[in-house]
Amino acid sequence: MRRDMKTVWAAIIMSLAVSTAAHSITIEELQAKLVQTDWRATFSDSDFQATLKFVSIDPEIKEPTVRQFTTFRRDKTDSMLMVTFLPEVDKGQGRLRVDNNMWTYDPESRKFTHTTLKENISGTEVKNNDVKKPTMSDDYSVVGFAEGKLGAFAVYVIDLKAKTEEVPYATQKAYMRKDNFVLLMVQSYSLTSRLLRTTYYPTYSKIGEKYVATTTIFKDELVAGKQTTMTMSNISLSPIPDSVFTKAYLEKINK
Amino acid sequence: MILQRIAMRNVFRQKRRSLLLVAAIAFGAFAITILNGFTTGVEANAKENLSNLYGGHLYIRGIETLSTGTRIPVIRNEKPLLAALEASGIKTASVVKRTSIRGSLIMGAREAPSNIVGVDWNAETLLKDRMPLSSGSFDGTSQADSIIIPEKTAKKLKAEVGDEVMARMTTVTNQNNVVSFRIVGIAKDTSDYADAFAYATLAYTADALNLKKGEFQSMNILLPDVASTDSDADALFKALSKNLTMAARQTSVAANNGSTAAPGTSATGTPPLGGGMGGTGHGMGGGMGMGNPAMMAPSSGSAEIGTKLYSLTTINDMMRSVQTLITMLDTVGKIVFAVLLLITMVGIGNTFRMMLLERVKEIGTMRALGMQRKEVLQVFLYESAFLAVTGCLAGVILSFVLGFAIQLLPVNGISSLFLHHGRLSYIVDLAVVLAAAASLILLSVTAAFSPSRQASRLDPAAALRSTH
Repeated sequence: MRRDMKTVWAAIIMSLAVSTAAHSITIEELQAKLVQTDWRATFSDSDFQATLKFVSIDPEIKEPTVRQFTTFRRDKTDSMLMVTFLPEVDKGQGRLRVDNNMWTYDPESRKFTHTTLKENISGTEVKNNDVKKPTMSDDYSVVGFAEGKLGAFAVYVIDLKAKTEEVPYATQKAYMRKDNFVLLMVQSYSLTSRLLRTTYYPTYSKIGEKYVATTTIFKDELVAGKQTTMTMSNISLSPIPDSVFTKAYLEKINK
Repeated sequence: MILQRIAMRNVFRQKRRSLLLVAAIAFGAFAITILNGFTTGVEANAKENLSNLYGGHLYIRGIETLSTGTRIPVIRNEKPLLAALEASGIKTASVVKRTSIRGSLIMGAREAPSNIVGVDWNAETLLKDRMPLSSGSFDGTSQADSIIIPEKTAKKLKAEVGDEVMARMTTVTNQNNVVSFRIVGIAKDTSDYADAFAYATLAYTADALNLKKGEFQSMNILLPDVASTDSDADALFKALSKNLTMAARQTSVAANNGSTAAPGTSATGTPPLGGGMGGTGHGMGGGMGMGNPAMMAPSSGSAEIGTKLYSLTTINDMMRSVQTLITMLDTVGKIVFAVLLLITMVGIGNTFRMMLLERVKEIGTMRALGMQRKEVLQVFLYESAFLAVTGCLAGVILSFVLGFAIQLLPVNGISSLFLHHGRLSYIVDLAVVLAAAASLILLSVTAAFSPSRQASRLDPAAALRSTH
């Protein structure tokens, strides 16, 4: 009997210890984890190139729309170039980000137009901000958190508040795995606290110490059934010539 | 009177030839009248549409530079603007405050792009007068979240009065936002330019744009007389410049291009609004995006942080691109008219020369019977004048008939900015028509003058001996 009581007490103490350990994480630590998450998705020591495929479902359009891009990133300077390959009608269109400026290029009119990171890509739920170097920890502050479960995973549900009015969403809720601090889901809210978009990160690829979300699902929470699945393939970390991150390059490939 | 009768008889002697001459002159008169009628109509419609859309003729806008360098469209305090308006001494028919939201309306799984204009319904009597509703009423506009949507949008959303719709939009700093509206009215589709816009309450839209209470984006002034727009704008600009930092008066290029700054600097040495006026997405078909003066895309720039910059634009500034198009059409019309005139004149000259040859014996007989040289000349000139007057009348009447007929037909493929209830307007400028007719008659007579003088100088004896 005494032995049983000892076991019970030991179990209680153990569970309390585990619980305390789990609760011991602070807002500051989670902010640091967010920095780490960004760092793990940033390629500062190399260039980054990949093929992006968007499959968009719109309840008003019968067939899913497929778009394909090649993206070139130089995270060291936060530069990016995205060139459209599909649909054929949009082939050659580009999105160029250099020195905090961003342009879209239309090969038909041969004109560059200023755009922002908050603009959506080709009418999808994906924003320019979603395909560049991640900056969640720069843009948002952790203002609270809770613990929970997302599917089979134990997660931190982190409340994020925009540091400035310059970012696309006023607040976000990030679901971060407790074991490896990988983001599984992000819910983005409007200024009026209405859920606008949910982003799921179901699959990741590990490249060295880095984690790349190879599948991302952007679900429009205002229009039922509207979503875009972005898949990343043909990832390369080989050096990209400087000339790629120029307007001239976009003009050249369209000649 | 006898000379006129002879001239008239001569006209009818060679009916086919006279008819061809009349047709040539008529075509010239028709071309210039119909072109003028439609260009005047297009100009008038564009002016009326813009005036209706913006609820006025003069537009004051504000731009503020945030600490981040982003420039946002906002007017935080109306008092200095109203004080300047009073000091300027200009007469106003109404002064309204507006906001503008670019986004989309959502109901269920349906989404429709929409531009929502925030208005103070108590002050917007003109808007109420010109916007017939197919269902609902303006009574509901007292509700804060009320919205009146265009018929086309209602059809796309399958929405009815009483339904709740969500608006997906961005704030002044371009942050995503979503707000709910309750539909209180559906605006009848009159195929007018302003039909594409939805209207909601000023305070609610300002809140959705993340503006504070009492803030708005543009102050639009309706003048009792549109003809005084430029002089009133000058007076108002002078009054505004005394206490406020004003941007240089916008040119049409800057007014219609969200990324192009107006050239030059302002009276106070401040650069003009680099942000320009963001287009509302309602292009004019010809590639001239017509920006709503209430709305500007936020932009980053080098302006000093916290700077409050104001700009004044007028309906004439907005019309400048339209006027360029009209001037172009007018010039083309004038060139075509000049070429037509030249061809007609050569034709008339040759025809009268031929007539002279045909009538040598007749002229000899008339001269032998006592007709004076001057009278022979007059007969020929009267003949040319009759032909010209008949041609002008026929051309003008034909253009009136065709112009008014075209006016009744609904038009597709032309921007509704240029249309009135979906139709082209045919407005004839009588002065232009009279001037064209007068020049046609004068030149016809001039062209006929040389052969007529030759006819009058014929020696009667030689003419009678002639074998012609």
